[in-house]
Amino acid sequence: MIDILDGNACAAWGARRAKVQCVPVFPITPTTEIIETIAAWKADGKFPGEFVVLESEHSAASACLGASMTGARTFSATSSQGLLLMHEMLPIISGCRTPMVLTTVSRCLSAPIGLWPDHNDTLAMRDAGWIMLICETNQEVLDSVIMAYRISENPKILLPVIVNMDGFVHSYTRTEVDVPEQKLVDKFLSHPELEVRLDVKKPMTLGIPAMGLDYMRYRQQLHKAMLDSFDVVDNVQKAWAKVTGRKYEFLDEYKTKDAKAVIVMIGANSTIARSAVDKMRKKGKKVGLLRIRLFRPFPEKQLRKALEKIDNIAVIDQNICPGMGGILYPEVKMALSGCKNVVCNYIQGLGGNFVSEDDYVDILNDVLKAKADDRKWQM
Amino acid sequence: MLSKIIKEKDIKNLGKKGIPHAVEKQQLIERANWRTFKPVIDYDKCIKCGMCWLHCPDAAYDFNKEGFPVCNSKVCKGCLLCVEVCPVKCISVEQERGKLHKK
Repeated sequence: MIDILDGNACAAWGARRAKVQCVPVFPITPTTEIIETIAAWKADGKFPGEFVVLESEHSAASACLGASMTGARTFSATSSQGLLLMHEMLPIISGCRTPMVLTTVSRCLSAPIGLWPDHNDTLAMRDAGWIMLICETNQEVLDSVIMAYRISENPKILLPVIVNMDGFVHSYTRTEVDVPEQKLVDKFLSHPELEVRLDVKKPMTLGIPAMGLDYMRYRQQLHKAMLDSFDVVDNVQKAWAKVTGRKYEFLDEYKTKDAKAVIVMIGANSTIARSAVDKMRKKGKKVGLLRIRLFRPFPEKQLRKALEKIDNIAVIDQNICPGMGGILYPEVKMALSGCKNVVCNYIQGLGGNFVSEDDYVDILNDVLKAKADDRKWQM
Repeated sequence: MLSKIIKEKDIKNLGKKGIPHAVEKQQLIERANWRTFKPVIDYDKCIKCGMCWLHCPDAAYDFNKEGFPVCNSKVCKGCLLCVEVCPVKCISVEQERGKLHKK
């Protein structure tokens, strides 16, 4: 079914096609439409799952934990301060190894209050033990939500997944989207029963206290599951490409093979950067783009392999860690440790400030000239 | 304590054991030395309702053959929640004596 949908509707369709059983939510701009869409379906009898509106995001995340502990397929969505309020629960959800999918719609953090997108909210969750997929298009959001369930419910992984899209740029922008048929998704997504789950007939404690080295072992197992998920994510993406023809990779490389300068970035603005790359290519300049789609676990080896031979790299951060710089920059630098590339950091588009094609052309021209690592702002 | 350094790739997958859960009754932890006061049940008044057993945060209560609740004095940390929830007020509070000398 081809339809004209915005990002929020795409996330809601992903949840509907995945036959989600429980949706505990608390609305926040720019996520509200996901919740409204599911609520409307629920009212019309088109959505068989439970739909619960809680009194805060913290309670919503707690309800998610409870629902997914019983083995119900759980979905939720939030943004910005809402995500920060959920943060207390996120390591508990991943620590209990309960699968679920949370759609985060990126919005800048207060104060000052802003409604528009940047990645500070989602990237702040990078240590919570969640697998993180950061999307570029509405289609990718829909596909990722469905794929995320298959990744997170894999018995070897059992980790929750964040599917991120940008507020407004995705969430309220309509594009042509192919909504996969229910039969296709049913065939792709089985619902394996959890081996460890809460059941009234077989009482147990989940999330027990662990003292001393036991605590460290559980954390080690969480890390191990994260590292193991590389293969699982890869297989799921290949399986999805087989059924739908839409291929996704950890790293989305665009004209990087013979490139001298490459932009490394995440999120929706990569579409604009892509056309800037095309513009530069027409002028005969060898430039490319690399978008990181899988942010956690961090595909360090793949990133190194892709960037090793590129002389000049511009890491673009639509986020700011005050006192340190961009969040993505040190991660890319770490992956390239020991290499002799020039890696520059550009902070841009904070609080949803509009970035044009020419801005990326400027950045590419700037980084082509760079002779040493540098940190810059584009305003 | 002697510890050893292992490589990340040598970490073994513990499967189900990697999920922090306990199927058996929660492991009883001995916290008797936390206690200043202890609960004492008057079995003449007790109606075997099980409220103390249900509310005990440390699972210190169990039932004897006659169905009366018995408090495990090694596990009980003396929070006295059972005293509060007892509907017939049959649990009284007694101060621990000579605890310091026992050590």
